[in-house]
Amino acid sequence: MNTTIKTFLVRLIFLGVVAKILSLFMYLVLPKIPLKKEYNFDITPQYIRVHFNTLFGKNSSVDMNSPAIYITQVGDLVLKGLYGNQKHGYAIVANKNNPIETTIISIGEVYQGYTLQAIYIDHIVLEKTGKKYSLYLQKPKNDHLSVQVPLQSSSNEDMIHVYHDDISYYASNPNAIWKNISIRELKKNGKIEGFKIVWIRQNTKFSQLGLKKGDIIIKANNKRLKSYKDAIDIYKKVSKIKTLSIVILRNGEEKELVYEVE
Amino acid sequence: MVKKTLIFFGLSIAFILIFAFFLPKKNLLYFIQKELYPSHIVFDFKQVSESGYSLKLQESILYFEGVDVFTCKRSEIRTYLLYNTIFLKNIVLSDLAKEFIPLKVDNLKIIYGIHSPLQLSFNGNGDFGTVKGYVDLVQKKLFLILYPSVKMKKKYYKTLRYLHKNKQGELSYEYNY
Repeated sequence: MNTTIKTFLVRLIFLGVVAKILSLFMYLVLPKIPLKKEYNFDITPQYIRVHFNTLFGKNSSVDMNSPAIYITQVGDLVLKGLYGNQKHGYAIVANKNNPIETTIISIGEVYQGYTLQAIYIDHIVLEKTGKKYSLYLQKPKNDHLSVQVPLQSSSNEDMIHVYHDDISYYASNPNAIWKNISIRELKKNGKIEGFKIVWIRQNTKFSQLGLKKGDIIIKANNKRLKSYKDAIDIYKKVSKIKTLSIVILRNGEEKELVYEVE
Repeated sequence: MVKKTLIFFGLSIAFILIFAFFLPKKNLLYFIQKELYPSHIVFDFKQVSESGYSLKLQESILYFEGVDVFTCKRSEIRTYLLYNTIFLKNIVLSDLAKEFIPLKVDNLKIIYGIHSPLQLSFNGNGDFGTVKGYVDLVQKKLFLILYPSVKMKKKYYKTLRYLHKNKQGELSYEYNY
């Protein structure tokens, strides 16, 4: 065999060995298992509204004449706010151990086994296993916590009405959204803390939503907005939901806005 | 001298090809996955198999900031170090894009080679039509030319407004990232 070919082959084998050693070294250094996608299971209870009085196709009758027990705390429930009248409206309740986390319940809705039956100027009537309880409003504490208790109202004025037609229009014309409102994520230490309203056009559907420039949307339907995914999940569902509740930070205080989709 | 140069080049190419063959491609993919994670990009897949110069992936999904960008039924990465290609087949884009473009992409081919080390070129076709373009890695620029399908022209004409018509009548788009 020609010496040149022989030398070439020897060198080739040597380079092959070097290549193998290098790849083995890389194998030892590089990760052996794929990155497992972290599935963040959300333990926040889903914001669901169930109208039990219409669930089975008939309205349940409310007997307002039966005696009620007058207390300011039912089980772990405390009343944080209310609006509406005896037959229509919503109550804002919370767990006494965690009064910041509020839940809105409507008349006829069951929450922790209690059915909301009626709303009065300063209390609500709950019913459980035939017994009635009158739950009175808590006095807001003037402590350091900057939690704004939702306004008490005897009418439906606080409920902002949104129309399906508008939602469908903006869902199919996303550019029309950004002509009227500008929202940017607010990050702290690289993590999303909420979505800030950078700009909002006045006298538009968006300004009628009760949002103002500088507001930071931190929650939607009882879920913290910690990623784009959280926000997009709400966007995807918005055409199907009947009620949307968002919590905003305005001037350092939390404020809840409730929308009814018609 | 010529002979020596030829031998040198021959051995160099041979070394590169042997090294590319032995390269632990699966582990390299896992490494890229980990490197992308801090940028909130997650590349997930159901199955991966390595053979020779290629790496085949089944049912892969790309997430950005937790949002699924696209799913791809089959993809293949071929690496010869000096010339690398990624073939993606049966891509379905996130339905968030359904108002802007048709979601189905049949094929997408991405090429990165020594012939153009500062650019990453691509071409593909799908319900939207045909696309070709490149990513300039230095200028951080994406440039593409779209040949829209009838469906794209009829149903997604609003998106086409964002594209620029050049002298040849082609629709082009430029984005600096």
